[in-house]
Amino acid sequence: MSLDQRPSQPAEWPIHPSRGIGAPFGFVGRFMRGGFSGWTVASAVIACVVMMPLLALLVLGLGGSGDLWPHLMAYVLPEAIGTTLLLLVGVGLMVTTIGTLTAWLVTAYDFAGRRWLEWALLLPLAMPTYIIAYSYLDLLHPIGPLQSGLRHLLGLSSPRDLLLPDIRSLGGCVLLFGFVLYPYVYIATRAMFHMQVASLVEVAHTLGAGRLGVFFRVALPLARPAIAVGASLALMEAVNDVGASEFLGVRTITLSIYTTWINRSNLGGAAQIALLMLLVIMVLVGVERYARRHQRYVGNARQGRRLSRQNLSPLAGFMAFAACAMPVVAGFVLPVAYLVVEAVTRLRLFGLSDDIISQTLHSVGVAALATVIALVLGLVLTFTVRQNSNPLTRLLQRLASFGYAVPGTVLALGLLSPLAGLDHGLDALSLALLGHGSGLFLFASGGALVTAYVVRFLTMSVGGLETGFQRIPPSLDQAGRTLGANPLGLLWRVHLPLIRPAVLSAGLLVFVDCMKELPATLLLRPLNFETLATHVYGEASRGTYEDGSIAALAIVLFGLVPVMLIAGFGKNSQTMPQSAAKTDRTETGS
Amino acid sequence: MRASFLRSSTADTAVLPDEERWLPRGRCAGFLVIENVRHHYGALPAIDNVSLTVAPGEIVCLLGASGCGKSTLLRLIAGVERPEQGRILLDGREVCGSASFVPPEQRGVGLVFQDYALFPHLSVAENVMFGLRHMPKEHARALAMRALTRVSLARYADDYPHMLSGGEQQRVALARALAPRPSVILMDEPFSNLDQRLRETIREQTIALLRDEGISAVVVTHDPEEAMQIADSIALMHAGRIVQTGTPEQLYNHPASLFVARFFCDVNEVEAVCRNGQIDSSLGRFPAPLAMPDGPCVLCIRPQAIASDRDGVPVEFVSRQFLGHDDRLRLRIPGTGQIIHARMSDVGPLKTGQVLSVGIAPESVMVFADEAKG
Repeated sequence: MSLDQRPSQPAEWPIHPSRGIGAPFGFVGRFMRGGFSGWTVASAVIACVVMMPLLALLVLGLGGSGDLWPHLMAYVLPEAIGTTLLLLVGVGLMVTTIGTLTAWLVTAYDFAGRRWLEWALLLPLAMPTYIIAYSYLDLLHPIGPLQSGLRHLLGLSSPRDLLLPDIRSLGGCVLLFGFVLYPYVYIATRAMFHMQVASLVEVAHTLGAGRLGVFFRVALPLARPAIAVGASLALMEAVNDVGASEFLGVRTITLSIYTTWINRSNLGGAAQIALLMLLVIMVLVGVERYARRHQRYVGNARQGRRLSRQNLSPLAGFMAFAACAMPVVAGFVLPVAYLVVEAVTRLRLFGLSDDIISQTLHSVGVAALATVIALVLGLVLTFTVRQNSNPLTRLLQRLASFGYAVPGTVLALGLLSPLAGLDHGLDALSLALLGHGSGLFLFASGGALVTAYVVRFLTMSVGGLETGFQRIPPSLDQAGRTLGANPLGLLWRVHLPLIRPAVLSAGLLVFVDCMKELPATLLLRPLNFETLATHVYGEASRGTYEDGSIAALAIVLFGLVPVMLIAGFGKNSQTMPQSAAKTDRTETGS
Repeated sequence: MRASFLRSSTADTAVLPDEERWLPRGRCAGFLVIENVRHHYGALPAIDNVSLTVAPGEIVCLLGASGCGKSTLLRLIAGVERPEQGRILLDGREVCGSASFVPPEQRGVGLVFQDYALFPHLSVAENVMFGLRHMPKEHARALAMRALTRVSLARYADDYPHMLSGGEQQRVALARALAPRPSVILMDEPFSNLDQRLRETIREQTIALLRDEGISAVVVTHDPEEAMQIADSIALMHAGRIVQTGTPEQLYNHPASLFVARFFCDVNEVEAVCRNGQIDSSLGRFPAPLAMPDGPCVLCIRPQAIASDRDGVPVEFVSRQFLGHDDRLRLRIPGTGQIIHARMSDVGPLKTGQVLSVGIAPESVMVFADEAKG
């Protein structure tokens, strides 16, 4: 096998070009001398595929939009940009407040129900934004259960007598997004609070800081990088959303891309808006990267005694409980209760329809295929860096992870022309070789959809596998190589058995995110191909939200799996090598 | 790639023991030559023009402070990193040169790490069998058991590495490295993760095993005493270069530079001047070594070389530390005020400021040209 003959390269590639004496080869010379490995080439190909939609957008956008741009500039974009910024600011404030507050309460204090809330606070993570929007649209409808109940309580008869603020507004959108997206901040900051050493808090107390003082002067500044990371992830989710904002009547940039493309059929204009939007994303990514810069320094506080929880008085304990329970109820319990009631009603009336079964199979099928591909590609990227960590391979890995920051709508738009071009090529090739054309094979087979999923969620696969690889000391690689294993053998006999838990959890995350994905699915699916998510969206556009309840509930249930994974993650991570050792006993060595 | 491990001759395999049939004969006493090797990490030269020879059956210690490049050199020999320049030859075969590069899995070198690098998902026996893939499994198992018996660990064959103590893990790592009969075994600080008492025992056992098998070995260590105990030859490294190679006695008694002298022992350094074959210092006059140029120089005297001598030079007693077998005295040279250390026994009670007369045997004085002034 040709890969075996490949010379192994130094673990750290010298970055500097020739420096006179002692550096006989120039920059180019060094790369040539080491030779590009098959792995590096494969990584480069993957990175190119991931970057392709962005390049296509650039070409599309620069190609112009006819005379649409002045119209967009004058009437569409100012409002869309304004709305999007307001939404981002609002959601940012909400998720930061809820996430940080609840994280601090469950880490620093002990109160009745705390242990239960600590993981229950993760639950809204299972709730996609479009599902919570549909649920609340129905729940809060003038003739829905909440308003009817309220009127009944107050003895009012007509909906006109009780005018509540409409959920179909920017404010409503911010609230709903806040209640499902805060867990990103909660997870990150809770981890950071856990790491803080008790001595810091005790020192602050002896220096005269009260409970609030400790929180604002010690805990919060230390958790700031985590808050920024969590909030930027939440905001990326918010920007990605199409389903919820459309039905809540909030005209964001994402939505204007969607309408410019679908309603006006102006790809160039849509691409131009998309490029504008990528600027917003870039700022978010920048904030996240900038925040992570400090993570290492904060991570130094690891050693030492952990913070022990303080007991709260019954009253304060109840308030803490209420504060933590509120987002769980609003972001998970209420909408799920609604979905369950509606789903049970429908199941009782009509039973389980064939449609829902085929939609589930569609969802699971494309998600599973995309997961397997994302895992294989992620393995190639991370193993390349493992084999040969140099600026080039690390850059390729980072480029290939860019898809997560690209909203599904933008991604679909960017994939459209490259995939169409590929389809035409395939068609011509098939015509020449087989005598009949293949038509739009990629779009008709769902290949386009799977490509979009892989591009968008490759980050999770790469990130998960990278964490797995980092736990394996490099000396194991060197020992394996000197004992006669070539790179592929090393991967197979040493790495894979050891990173199997990481592979499983990364795969699960990718799988569930594919199941939940809506915008790209809507735009790239084959004709008449319904998944659970598109079915929910379809029912919602017809105004019959409750008919989508079974599908919506199914998506939420799938979404609960990674939540449970995250909730139990801390416990499993320590025992990784041992448990791997035991399960592998029978298979290895053959 | 497996071909290199198989015996090439077509002799009647039936009469040979299993090991001889599957493993290269006599590979253990390998001959390693390193010629003018250079390697960089970023802008930092990690290995700067290093040449070294390890004769068959010889144990060579790479000695140096952390960051001097000794571990990098080991990785270059193993082939897990590729040098920018220079050649490495194993048993006369060029494994690394300007045009050739043999990947580590085809080199036939054994590697033992400071953290032992045992595969946590494999049992002890499976760890040892990892490098024995090119033969039927039962042969591999038998060879692995033989190797484990050799390090007295056969009864732990089916345990997992995390169940063993540090010393046992170290021995598993050794057995695993030796099982495929490498031509040279490379050990990176193999004893430094063991506690003090265990270290002595394991070290003696390991070296005895290496000697018994007649294996060529390169052992990296930062501990000069360890190097002197185990090595046939020591290569002392500093800032990516080998500053001196020789037997432990040569390096200890005839250091090539002040750096080497300092590395093996705490020394007193006294400024002096060389003139006409004579060296004048605040501790007396000594004959200069041959070819010593006139000018400023440094006298290097070990604390043990200073003894009471009625006819010696007067020094002032400052303080003393009781060390058991002898005392460590701090003494002041009256003229310059410099403090020197001496190790003496039976000096009796002394008072601060009391004047002693000490002498230094001329043959134990080491003289170096003043490094600061060129």
